[in-house]
Amino acid sequence: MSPSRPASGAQITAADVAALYAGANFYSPSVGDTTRVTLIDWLTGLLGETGPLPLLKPESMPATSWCAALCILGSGAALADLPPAGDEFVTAVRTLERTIDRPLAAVYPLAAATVSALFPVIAAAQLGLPLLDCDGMGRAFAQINQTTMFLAGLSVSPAVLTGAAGETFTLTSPNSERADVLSRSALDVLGGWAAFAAYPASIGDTARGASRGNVSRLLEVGRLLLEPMSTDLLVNRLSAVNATRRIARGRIVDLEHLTRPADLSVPTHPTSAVLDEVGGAILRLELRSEIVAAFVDGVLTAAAPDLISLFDVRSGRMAALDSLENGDLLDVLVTPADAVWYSPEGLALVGPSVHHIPLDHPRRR
Amino acid sequence: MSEAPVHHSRTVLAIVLDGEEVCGVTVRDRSIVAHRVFDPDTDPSEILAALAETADHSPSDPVEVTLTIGGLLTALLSDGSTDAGVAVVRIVPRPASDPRLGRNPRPRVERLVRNRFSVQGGCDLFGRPVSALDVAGVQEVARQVAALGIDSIAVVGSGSTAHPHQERQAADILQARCGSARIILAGDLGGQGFVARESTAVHDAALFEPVDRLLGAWESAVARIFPGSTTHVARSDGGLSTLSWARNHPVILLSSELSTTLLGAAADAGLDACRVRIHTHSGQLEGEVRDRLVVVGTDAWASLDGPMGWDLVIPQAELSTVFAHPWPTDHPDRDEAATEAVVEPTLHRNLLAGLGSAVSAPSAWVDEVAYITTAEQLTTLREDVRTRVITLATANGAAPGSARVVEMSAIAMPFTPAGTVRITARATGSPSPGRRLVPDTADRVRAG
Repeated sequence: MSPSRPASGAQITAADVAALYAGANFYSPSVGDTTRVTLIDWLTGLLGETGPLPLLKPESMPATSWCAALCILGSGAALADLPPAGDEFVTAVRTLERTIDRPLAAVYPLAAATVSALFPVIAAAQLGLPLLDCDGMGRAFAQINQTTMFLAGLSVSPAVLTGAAGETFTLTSPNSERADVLSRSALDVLGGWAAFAAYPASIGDTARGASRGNVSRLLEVGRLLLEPMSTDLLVNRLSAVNATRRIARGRIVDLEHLTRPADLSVPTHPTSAVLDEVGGAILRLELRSEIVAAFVDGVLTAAAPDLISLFDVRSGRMAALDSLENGDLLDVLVTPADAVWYSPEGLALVGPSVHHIPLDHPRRR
Repeated sequence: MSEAPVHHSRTVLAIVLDGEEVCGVTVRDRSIVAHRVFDPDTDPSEILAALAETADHSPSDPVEVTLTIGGLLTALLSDGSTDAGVAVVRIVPRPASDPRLGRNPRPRVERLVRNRFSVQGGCDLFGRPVSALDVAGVQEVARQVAALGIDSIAVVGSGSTAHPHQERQAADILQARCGSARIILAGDLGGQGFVARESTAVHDAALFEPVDRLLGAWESAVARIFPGSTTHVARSDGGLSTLSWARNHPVILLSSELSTTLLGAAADAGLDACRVRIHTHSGQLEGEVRDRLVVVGTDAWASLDGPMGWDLVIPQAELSTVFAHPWPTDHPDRDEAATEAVVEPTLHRNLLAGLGSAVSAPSAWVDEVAYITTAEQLTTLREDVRTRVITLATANGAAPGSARVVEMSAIAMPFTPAGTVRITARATGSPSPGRRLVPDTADRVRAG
């Protein structure tokens, strides 16, 4: 079943793992370091055994072969507390193959961010499959239907969830929004996280729907973050890769909860962080699983699908949302998302209105 | 809002043990008035008697003694004297399919482990059982541990911070079979993350005997030389604890010398808030003091590799690589940069650690995950945590009524069901001068 590996081309080696983790932290501000050493140790050892993992452009593979998207469904905190046995993704992928009655020739990250950027690499190495250099989000949104594949008409299901106890749910729904709701119900009893394999499709269809090059980009950003350099230089270099810009530097002065109306079936209730910006402005960040909006003196300056991330000036590291505290001094960085997310369909799926912020996205004004 | 703790004029004999020497520092009114260095094997009574002479101390006045032993513990962990003594019992739904996941990823933790066992069980982040505890499996592990003669056991169950019932059930079975074995339950130490809790529990188990012996010797010496005096020991967060609490959970003393060094450097510079550059095993690092407290975090060193890399659930000083991200002189916020002091201390690290412990105060820390659905529930949760952390600070030696919450943060946890919050709180109070506090209740209070 394993495809022949290319003699040359892009690949992920054991030496790339630290950069992979650092990049995953940049594309989602929701990852603390509780699983860092476990994942780095595991994946480094695995790649040391299996050798470099091919990282292939989707168009370099046969368009009629099939692939699937993988991610950790649920929270990194749940994963940190209930550790994986290690075979969850292999079980999920094999179950998905049986469900669709065809083998998969490749896998790719549903979201190239958070721990979900690392597990597809682990799974690919375990399965002996190449990893496609694409993903469905270019960061991490909270719902499994918030993908460019969904926008392109691909279905989330059939999908498979495998939990830490080895239990497996197979999910089939013609409605991808319902698939998200159903999968969350399953998560609740699986232990708060699950290995998730979904979006089975031909590589040709996937190439048309997925955001391409995001694994390579993540690695490039990760390498930058591992280099010691001044904050200013880092922002400049991130700008070259990502068009990242700094919109403010400030100190957190308040954290508030349940600050907006929200659909509580969606993960993570609304929270707000207020920063006293150096220079005198007041910056308000609206949070859920991601930072969904930034207001400077009451003016919406950035909003989802922009990637809004926080860089801890003191530690020189990305700041995790679940570790924010009053007094933290942060640079607020904004990185534009894939262009498709700023289309009317994209904004309807992941834009400010989804988070009950009834304002036009700054790019649409 | 609670009132600020009262800082009495105090004479403190601060003892710093780093494995190479014992440094005795006499501190009065936040200043070093005398110090002496002793051979590491010197009898504690002899050291205290010598310091009493240099302190010019009135025999009628009670004296306070602080011990900072983080450096010594690091030396003990490094020289192999604590190696391979702990049995680890993991309670998880399934054993690891990859051996890399079946062990602790930090070699420094694995060195302390003699045998590992895995039994079926485990809960999720909220303490809901994912798998029932395999009682027969625990009984078999107990039989093997007893046969091996291991007397130090760390039990770590997934989700045990939220609900430690499986750990306790396993501990009861182990205790019944293993008699006098010392059993550490990871859930008793609180905190987030299975691996971090395991690392903490293993260190706690490995350090129990040497710390018990050491603190016992110092407690006896203080009682002999300065009857009725207060003795505290410095914690990883830069605060102080009673000897009884520290002897129960010695892991809270790890890296205390770094936190007290930061505090000491700030005090020596006459500053309440500053950045401090210190030399460590990982080179020059920078920490921070705010409002006379060290800036700490529970996963403060999880991002570090090498000698300083450590995943522990106890709060430790946040340290960053100096010069990695300096304030540029032409930066728009240069005004703030210019007003922020960066201290590069010149005193020996042990003098600073002694000074830091002398100006410190009993403290406590809580780090939990909770579930709320309304703002009112959050208010209730905050009050509950506030009460508990103040109780813990008092149990750690704060004068009754003096403890106050100095930091509290509640933040939604990404990608968890709406309403899930991580709440952390830190409390500190004035030391109780002139008498010892031995809070029997402390043993039954989690975290701290």
